[in-house]
Formats: sequence, structure tokens, C-alpha cells
Amino acid sequence: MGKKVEVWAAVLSLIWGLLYLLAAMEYPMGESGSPGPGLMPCLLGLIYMGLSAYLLVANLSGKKIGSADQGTESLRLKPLWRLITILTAYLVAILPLGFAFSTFLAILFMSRLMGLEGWVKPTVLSFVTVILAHLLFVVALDVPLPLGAIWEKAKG
Amino acid sequence: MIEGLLSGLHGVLDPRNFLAVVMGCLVGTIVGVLPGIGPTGTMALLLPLTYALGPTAGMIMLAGIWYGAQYGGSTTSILVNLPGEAASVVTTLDGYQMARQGKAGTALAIAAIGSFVAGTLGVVGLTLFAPPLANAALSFGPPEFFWIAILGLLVLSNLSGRSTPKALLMATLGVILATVGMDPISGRPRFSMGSSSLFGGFDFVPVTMGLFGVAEILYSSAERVKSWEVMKVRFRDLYPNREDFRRSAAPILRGGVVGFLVGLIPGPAAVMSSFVSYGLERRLSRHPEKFGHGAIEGVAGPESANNAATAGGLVPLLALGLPFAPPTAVLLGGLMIHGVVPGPLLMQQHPELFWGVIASMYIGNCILLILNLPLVGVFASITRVRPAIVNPTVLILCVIGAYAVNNSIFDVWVMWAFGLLGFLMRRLGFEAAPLVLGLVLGKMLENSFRQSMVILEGDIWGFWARPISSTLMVLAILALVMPPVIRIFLQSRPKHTS
Repeated sequence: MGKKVEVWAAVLSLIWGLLYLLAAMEYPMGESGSPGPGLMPCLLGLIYMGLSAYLLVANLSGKKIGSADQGTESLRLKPLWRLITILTAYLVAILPLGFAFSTFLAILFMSRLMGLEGWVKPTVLSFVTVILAHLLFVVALDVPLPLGAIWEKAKG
Repeated sequence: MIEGLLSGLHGVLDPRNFLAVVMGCLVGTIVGVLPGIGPTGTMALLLPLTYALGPTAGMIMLAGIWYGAQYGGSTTSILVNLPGEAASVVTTLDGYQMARQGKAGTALAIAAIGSFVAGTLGVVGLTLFAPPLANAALSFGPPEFFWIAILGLLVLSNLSGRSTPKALLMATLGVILATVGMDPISGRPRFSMGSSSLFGGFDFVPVTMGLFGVAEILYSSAERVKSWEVMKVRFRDLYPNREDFRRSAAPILRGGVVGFLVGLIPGPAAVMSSFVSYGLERRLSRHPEKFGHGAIEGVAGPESANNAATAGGLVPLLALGLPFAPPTAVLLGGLMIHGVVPGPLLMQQHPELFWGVIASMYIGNCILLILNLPLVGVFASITRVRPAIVNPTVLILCVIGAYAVNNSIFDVWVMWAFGLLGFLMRRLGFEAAPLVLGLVLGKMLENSFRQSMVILEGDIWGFWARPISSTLMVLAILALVMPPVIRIFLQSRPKHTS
């Protein structure tokens, strides 16, 4: 993890802290004997900005502050991006397609991405997981998992 | 105390609670065996299940996962040279060497017996120490609670991360996230950006699941997969001889005491205690040169210490409502989602929960001994289950768990966002535990501060006038100031000697 990234992270953190502080100042501060809803957020915003500024200055001056994870350079980013894409698509699909169908597809592709060979094993894993999840959460624990807009429309 | 403990034992024998102990111990052992997702992440993943179990059974199960993972962690350390749990890292030094010398069964048996003895000793300590501490804390008012929250945030930030400023930044971010939603005093929504889903603030469950569960899986999917070979162990090998017992007895007892005491100190107690115990045993040994080459004391001491530490870590949580380690922060959050306010009043307001958790640990330790001795081969074979099967299943559990909190897809998106944030945080060297603690303690911190200011009529120096409040304030200042002072002192020492 390069120093440049850590500097940018500190800059973004500082900007975020400033935005939070500005938003906090919109709320009434109250009085010392009766603090309002804006006082604590303002104090927190200032502390957050102070800590972010410290990290920024320390990074710029080359001081080592709790180094990032060791060996991160050897991370494989391609499967990571694919996993992020599959999961995002899965979350988008849950409401229209329903839990069962979208979960089946998500596990199918995720398990293949993570190294489960062929189509038979991933299909069996997806099928078994969906059935077990349905039995545990819907039947046993009464969690109303989404049926899917398409399915509900078809049911009328 | 005896009456409370007996009623707790009676409560644990209720089928629901007993099932929770067994489930917690079983899941904890599996999690301890499996490298990757640790007890904190698993506890976070299973938080939604506590809705169905109720607060007592839920907490019994979550605590079982924590101390169960300490048992399981030794299995892969000894058989594969791969610690399933951070607290078992030190066990690889001598445990794996013993396995290579054909004494894997002995090492596993001593680790399990030591864990049982020290774990039980730790629970005895918890039984003796937690109630008087809780009684002493009954006189606490809002100023004291404010400083308790500050102290908790500072000490965990100092000890849980590689960098104090980064950990403090995360703790502040956690408190900031706790300000989102309805202001509890004026009833005015804050930072909700017009979204009704944010009126209630960020739910603890999806945030924790994202930071611990999803982030971990994202990380492991990007890591290069390593393969390992598991040594086979036969049931008849699990019998240490008289000499093994003689050499292990004192390290087990010392490990129990050391572990419990380290557990009382803020920080990753289980990990610290195992290293402290290893160092102590090596120092006390007549043959320190044998350490690292298969010394049984190097397995007995640390494995005992990390179990006793979990009981020690529960003392400040149950008595004061102070989580000193990441798993206790999840336990605290678990109590709060059930509307149970942890702290000095817990023993009086929810005796069934307070004593139920303590009593369940006596039974849990027995269950773990039964599980870990004869079934050690079965648990070791779990390491052969491929991440391609485990990871997608855990991700789906995260999604359902987050959805089940409010039956809302919004919480699932929150979990996903915090999963990505957790991944980035890890890449940049930020710890998730202080953020979670900040989120958990944030509301208490703000409410107690505002109530204090009303009680003290706006006089900020009034915090000094109250003895307990001023003591806690001094401790908080020391927690902030002492680590850098000690670091500077230690850095300057070699210069003097040279």
C-alpha cells in the first residue's frame, strides 16, 4: 500500500469530517445547562478533523503510523472486482427476482469464481444452500424473505 | 451469590438455553478450527439469530462461540501448524513440533484439558469478582457513565490497533455514526438526509456484519490460496502419560491465573494472555532451550491462559457494561439490540441473564472438553472444506441476517457498504473494532454527557467534584497519555545504554 494512497485517504477523511461538521452546525447548540442536538456532533466533527489532519501531516512528513496490511501488494484484484460485481448485482436483483432465484444464481457464480470446478458442484451447492436457508429462516424463524416482484405480479 | 449461581444453573438446563450452550460451543470450535473468519465475525453474523433465541439464550450462545473458539484454535495449530484463531498462534511453536515428533495426541489432549481446567478457574473468578464490582458501581450516575464510555473507547483504541491515532479516528467515526437518527432528547432527526430508513439510525447488526463478515470474505477472496496437509491423529493417541501430566499441571494453573488477570485488562486479552503465559513458562523452565522444539509446557500454559482470559474479559462487561475486547463489544451490542442495558444494574434487572451467562460457562467448558477430545479428528478435517464452499454460504448468511433485522433491503445495502468500507480500512491499516465500539457506546456517551450537563447546571468542573467521576477521568487521561509516554521512554532507553 503506497504512501500516496494513505495521504489521499487522510485528505478524503478530512473533507468528510469538514462536511459532517458543517452539517452538525445546522442543529441548535443549546446552552451549557441544556446542550442541544448539535453540540456533541460539532465536538465530534472537530475531533475527527483534528485526528485526520494529524494523519495527513504524519503521512506527508513520512512518519510511519500503523502500517497498512502486510503483503497487500500480492492481493488478486481481478477476482475481488468480480465478486464485488456479482454481489452488487445480487443485491439489485433480490427484490425483483426474489430471494430464492437470485440467491441460487449468486452462489452459482460466486462459488465458480472462488474455484469450485465445473457446473455440477456449484449447482448442487446453490440448490442445497437455498433450500436450507429457506427451511431455517422462512419456515423455522418466520423471516419473510422477498418473493420477488415478478413472482408476486404473476400471482396477481 | 450461591443462590444466583444455582438459579443460573437451573436456567441453563432449560432446553432452549442448553441448546444455545451446545450450539455456541460447537460453532465456536468450528470457527476456531477454520482459519479466516474469527469468533468476533461469527458472533456478529449470528446476532440476528438471537432475536429468535431471546436475550439470555442469545448471549449464552454468543459467549459460547467466543470461548469455544479458544478450544478449537489449538487443533489446527498443532496438526497443521496453522493457527485457526489469533490466540493460538503461540501454540504452533511447540504444538506442531510435538505433532512432528508423533505426540500430536498428547498435545491436543493437554490443550483440551488445560483449556477446561483454566476455563473453569476463570469462570470461578468471574463468579467471585463480577457481582461485588457491579454492586460497587450501583452509585454511578450520568457523569460516571460518560467517563466510563470515554475510558472504554480510549483503552480499546490504545490496545486494539497498530496505531493509536488511527484507532481513535475509527472510534470517533463510530460515535459519529451513532449520532445519525432521532435525537433521543429533543426527538429531532439528525443526519438522516430525508430518508425514513435512517430515522432509527444505523443498526448495529448490519454494520458489524459488514465490517467483520463481508470485509473478511472480500479480503480472503483476493488472497492467494494456500494448501495445507492435516496430520492424522488416532483416538488411542489422546492419552498423555504421567510425566506429561506432571509437567503440565503447574503451567495449566499458572496459565489460568495469568489468563484471568490479563482478561481484566483492556485489549485483545486472549492473544496477549497466551504470549504472556508462554514467556512466563519459558522463564520459569529449567530447560528453556527446549521451547520451540516441542516443550509440552509451551502448549499447556498458553492454551490454558487464552481460555481463562475470556472469562476475565466478561468481568468488566457484565459488571460495568464496559467491553475491553472486540468480542465483548459484539456481546454488548447483542445485549443492547434486545433493550438490555449492560452495566451495574444488569445483575439486579436481569439476574436470569447475568447468572445464566456465568452458569452456562461452567457447563460450556464441560461440553467443550467432551467435544474436543473424542471429536478432534472430525474437527481437524473441517480445514479440508474449501473456501469456495464456505465463503459464498457465509455471504448469503450475512445478507439474510442483515435483512432479517427489520425485514428491509436497506439494511442489506448498509451491510454491503460497511463491508466495502471494512475492506478498505483493512487495506489502509485501520481496525474495525474501535468503530464498532464507538457505534455501540455513542448513544450512551452523548446522552450521559447531556444529562450530566443538566444535572451539573452547565458547570463542566462539576465532573471533578464527584469522586468516582474524577477517578475515571484521571484514568481516561492516563489511558490517552501513558502509551505515547511509555513508547517515547522505551525508544530513548537504548540510546542511554549505548
